[in-house]
Amino acid sequence: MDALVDFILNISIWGVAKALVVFALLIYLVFAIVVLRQVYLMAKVVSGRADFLVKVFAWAHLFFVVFVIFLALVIL
Amino acid sequence: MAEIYSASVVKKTKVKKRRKKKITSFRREIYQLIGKTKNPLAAFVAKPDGVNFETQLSKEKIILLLRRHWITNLGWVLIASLMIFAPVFLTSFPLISFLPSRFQFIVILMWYLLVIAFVLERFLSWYFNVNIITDERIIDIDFYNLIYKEISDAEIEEIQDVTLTMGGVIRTIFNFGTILIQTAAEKTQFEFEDVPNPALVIQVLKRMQLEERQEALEGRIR
Repeated sequence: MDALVDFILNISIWGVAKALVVFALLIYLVFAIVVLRQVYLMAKVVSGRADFLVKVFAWAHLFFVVFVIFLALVIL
Repeated sequence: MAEIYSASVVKKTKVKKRRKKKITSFRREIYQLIGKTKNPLAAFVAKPDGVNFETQLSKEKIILLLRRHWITNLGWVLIASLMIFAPVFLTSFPLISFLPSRFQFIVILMWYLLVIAFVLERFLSWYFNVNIITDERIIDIDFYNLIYKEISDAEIEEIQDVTLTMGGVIRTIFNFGTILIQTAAEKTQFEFEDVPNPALVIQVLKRMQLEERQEALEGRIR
């Protein structure tokens, strides 16, 4: 019981904030994966010469999200 | 007897040649009207190279690929531009200054992620929502959001009525409008929304209808 109370008392507000930020970013990561998948499905429905560019942009978006999550885990 | 037969064959061949010439002249007229577009990001893409769609039949040729006029993107481009510069303006109105600097940095990165998501969603919606006119059909491809799509098509000969709606200053200046196409197909109404050069699109549709009627008369329906 004392250990639990100690644990609760030792929780820092910024620790909670970090957990919330990382959680929000993980949800965003799911969205980025959905976007990437959707780009591939859309390009299957109508394929054009600019598809490669759109796919590169969707992948860059996904990698950027992963980078921000990594950064949040390291610096927060 | 042989002379009469050969004369009849020659006559039939001449009629066939004349008909063939008429068909190609319809198509030639259309190609002269629309020209050829090389920019894959254009809103009015004539005779596009390297463009295919899911339900395309073999030997079916795309004549026109239409997207909403680029000016219709102006609204979200302006909003995205404001969103990009928002963190700079926010230095004057410090909303997140109570946060430690490392949190401020991550919050700004998260803001830019939202900006990218907004731009990506709007661009994908513009780029993939297309109307296609082929030599056989009209096709309307709509992605209502990232997870719901609707693809409808109708044969050219099923087109019954075409209505052009083009109101307002912006539409008149930039020459774009909405074409409503009534058909005898399962989906009775097709909407080509805010397409550039709507009058030209209607001319193309009319000529395609004439070509289809000619093909039907000659029994050359695919």
